[in-house]
Amino acid sequence: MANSDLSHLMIGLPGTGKTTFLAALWHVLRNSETVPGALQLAGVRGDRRYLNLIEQQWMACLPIERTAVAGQAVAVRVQHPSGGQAIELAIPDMSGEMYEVVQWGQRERVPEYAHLAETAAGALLFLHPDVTIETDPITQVDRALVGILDSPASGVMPEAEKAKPWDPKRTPTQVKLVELLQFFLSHAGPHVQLAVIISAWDSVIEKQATPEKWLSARVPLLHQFLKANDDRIIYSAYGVSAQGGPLKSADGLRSHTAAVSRIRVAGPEGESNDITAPIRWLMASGRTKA
Amino acid sequence: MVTCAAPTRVIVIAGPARSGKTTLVASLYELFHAGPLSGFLFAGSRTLVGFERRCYLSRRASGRDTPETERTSHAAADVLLHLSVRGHDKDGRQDLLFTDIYGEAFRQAADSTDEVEQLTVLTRADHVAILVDGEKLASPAHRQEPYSQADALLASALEVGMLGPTSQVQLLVTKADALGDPNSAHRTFVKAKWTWLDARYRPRLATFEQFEVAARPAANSPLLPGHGLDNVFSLWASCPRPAEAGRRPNPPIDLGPFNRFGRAWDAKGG
Repeated sequence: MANSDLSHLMIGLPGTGKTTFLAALWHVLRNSETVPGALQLAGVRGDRRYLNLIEQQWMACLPIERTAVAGQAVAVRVQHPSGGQAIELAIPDMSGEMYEVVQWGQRERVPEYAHLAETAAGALLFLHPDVTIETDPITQVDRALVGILDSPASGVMPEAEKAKPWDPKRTPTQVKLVELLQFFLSHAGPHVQLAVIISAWDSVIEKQATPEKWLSARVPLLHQFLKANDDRIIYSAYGVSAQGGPLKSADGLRSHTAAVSRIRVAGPEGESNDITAPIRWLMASGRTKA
Repeated sequence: MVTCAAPTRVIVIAGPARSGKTTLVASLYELFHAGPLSGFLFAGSRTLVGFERRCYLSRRASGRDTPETERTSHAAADVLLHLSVRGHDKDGRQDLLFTDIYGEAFRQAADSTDEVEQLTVLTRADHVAILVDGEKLASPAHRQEPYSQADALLASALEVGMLGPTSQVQLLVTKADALGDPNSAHRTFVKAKWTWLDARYRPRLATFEQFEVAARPAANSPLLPGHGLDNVFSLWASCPRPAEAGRRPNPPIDLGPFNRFGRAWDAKGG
């Protein structure tokens, strides 16, 4: 890797929009003249079939093909619109299963991942509001209801309670993500840049919410972890709707003349359809790896 | 090596079987799921799986209707749980290691100075929390047991020097919701017992305090889950053991034996 190269990992559980993000990013890079301020494509190293395939699926508003567990190597040369030297941006598309099943569930180290983490300048961390498992304790209200339903007057006698076996997959999302970040930090350099991507931002009901407020309200454990480790992690939160809406509204999405106008990005710089904004932020604040 | 990475507090939780040791620590961790605790931010944990397994039976995902905590087996009794937190002070990062003295060891230590000498972790503890089971205090048949057992353990540990003038000890009245309202006969009993123990042991320890906690109060209790834990946690995270002439600092603790993830990675050459 040359001095002007940057590598960024995409970290996220299955179905959190990593590949959809990549598809839209590739499309914008190829059409950057239509998005003010967007990064520009200066070249691609190696095979671009994968990028073209997922771009076609994205443009047609079809479900994006799931990434194989082994992941896909993606490396593009990009240039800031204001000019300057082009840099190679490597964003390996690692599968969500690699993170959830192999890292969290089986607690195994994937050598390829470890190497990428060691050389990464930063990462994009993906969350999806609709595939977030909340911490869901049995509340006092639940117990009070059980007391009523199981009271002798109800005619229902309580039974000895049995529990389903513990399943690591059902762990709250924020716990899994903290652990994935701890794994990443254990390999990465002393300081990392992290763009936190909240996918399907159009589905966030709290319309007044900013991505930062959403993190604080919905995944407080992760939010605390990011703030408490500011000596190692510099992060910025983005709400990204790479598709522009749910696929069940595909007809409406396809009606856009320019597909880039479907994209919505909310970040510290405001709202736009520039999906390269998180990458620009990573590049601006990132360190260059030798 | 956690104790090399940041200032580390070792917290020992001692109590008889079913007094709520595991529930206490698991509930502390779970309070961070909802937000900061006593002004401390969650900064990480090397034992997330351990915490999650201990919290599981109190979650809806378990399929249960009432919360429960898996009992600590003898084999798992030497397992440490790790929490890293950060206070408002930018340099205020703290690692906390929790370990418990399982029920049978607690009983034996209270009965025998030979046994209590085996509990070397007491000499390394920044805080020793002795649990007093509130449910038993509210039971006429068992109300004398909890303070009597705490008294026996303190007497035994002080006699052989496992606790001493630099030790910070707390009595935690667990399941405090069982004690009823502030004017109940149970609370009068608790107050009398505490006055007696306080007079007996405060002069011989660095600090000796009593807290009431209710990690998972009953459905009809006005107390909220985690009642009182914020005060205890704040004390544990803020106050190191006072310096003691001739006492060596805590040696590093290798996290490998209790960090399943670390073990798996080490085994694979990671």
